[in-house]
Amino acid sequence: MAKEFEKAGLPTVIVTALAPLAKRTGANRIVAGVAMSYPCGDPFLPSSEEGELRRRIVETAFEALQTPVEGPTIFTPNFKWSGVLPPSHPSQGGPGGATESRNA
Amino acid sequence: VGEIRIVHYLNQFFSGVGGEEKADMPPASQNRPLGPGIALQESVKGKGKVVGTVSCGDNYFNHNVEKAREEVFGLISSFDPEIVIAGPAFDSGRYGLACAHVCLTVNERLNIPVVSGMHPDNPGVELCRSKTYVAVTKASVAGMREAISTMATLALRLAKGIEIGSPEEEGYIARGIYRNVIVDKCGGERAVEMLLKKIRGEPFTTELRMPVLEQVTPPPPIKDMRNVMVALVTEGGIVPKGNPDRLEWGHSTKWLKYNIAATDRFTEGDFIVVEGSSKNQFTDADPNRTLPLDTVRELERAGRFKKLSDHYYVTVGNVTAVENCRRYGSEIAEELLTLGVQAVILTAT
Repeated sequence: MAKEFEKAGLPTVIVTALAPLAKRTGANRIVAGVAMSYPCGDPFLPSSEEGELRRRIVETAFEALQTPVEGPTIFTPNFKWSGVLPPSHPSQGGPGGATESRNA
Repeated sequence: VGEIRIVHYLNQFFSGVGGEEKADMPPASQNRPLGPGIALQESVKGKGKVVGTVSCGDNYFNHNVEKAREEVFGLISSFDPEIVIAGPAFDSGRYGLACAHVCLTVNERLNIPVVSGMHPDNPGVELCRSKTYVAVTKASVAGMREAISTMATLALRLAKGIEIGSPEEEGYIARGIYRNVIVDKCGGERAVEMLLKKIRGEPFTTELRMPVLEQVTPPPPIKDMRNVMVALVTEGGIVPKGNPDRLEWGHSTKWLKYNIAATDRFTEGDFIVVEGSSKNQFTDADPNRTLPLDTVRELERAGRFKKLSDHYYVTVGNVTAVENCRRYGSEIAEELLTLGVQAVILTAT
């Protein structure tokens, strides 16, 4: 869908935990999200920290929309997540399985 | 007598009518080979006969696809063909798309062999290759002779019911069909052999080609977000409570939109998540975790961008056909452009 939006000339940012997959399928502006089922949140953080995490993700999405790119590019928000994986998805907690805070 | 009846489809240029200035030419037919059809006739001599040529301007076809399909099909079927050959179109996009539409239409309605020829980058390839044979051609007309020969061979074999070999052997574009074959070595042995060859830098042929995905040129970045209307789109299945339009949990067949002009955030209970690849307890509790409406509204209020579109757009990407996603994307894009949206935030689960 991202590619169809871009074909129509709409700058598009896709937020997903499966950033490498999005890159391989050819989406051009990609923001690495938190987890597969909740790219923009972290239920294991206190709500104020979760709010901050979401703000950083959305800020990174805005940054991606304003950045010139040549081809598929991953933007990694600088956020701190709980490191807790959802029980139903033991291996899908964030890109690259990172467990510490990640830097842009 | 006994020769297979072949009808050949060409554009305005190859049928000899004219170049770009004649690209609006409506469909026409003649009861003899024209242009590349003469080489085609030569190539099938004694086995087949080009009984008719149907031609149409590339612009006419692409500007009135449904109409052109009907008109061209009418002319083709009037020759009572046993084989239809379209092109070759080489890397010409409009011609390739026209050939693909012709092949698909004939394939659907007449159940006779249809073959076209295109360069693998021609956009017509994706349209028809899974249903009809497309011979691989060079990018330019310099590859005419080989193209005609490959197309004629394929078509005659199909007409006689002779089994078609692999894409590499026969020179057509892979249709994405897997066939069982009997081989000497088990998969493990073959995989290790390939790996060793790869490590040694020797050539090897993979048995599972990864799909080559279309690349899209990224649109230029937004200069100033403060002047921009943004839309939120998700394939994460957020819908109003009760799922009133019955969005599927997977294998989705539609996209939907819901008005959020007066909604500051997705609240628990008012919106639910129907996406079916994982448990939705965390996103049901706070759907903003999938589509960050709350944060985006804050930024809107702070004047960071001009306006959020009145609706958000939603489908389910879980085990949904790529072709459907493409359609959702282009349909939603059309609506967004009409509304004046200039940037999209899409979330995927």
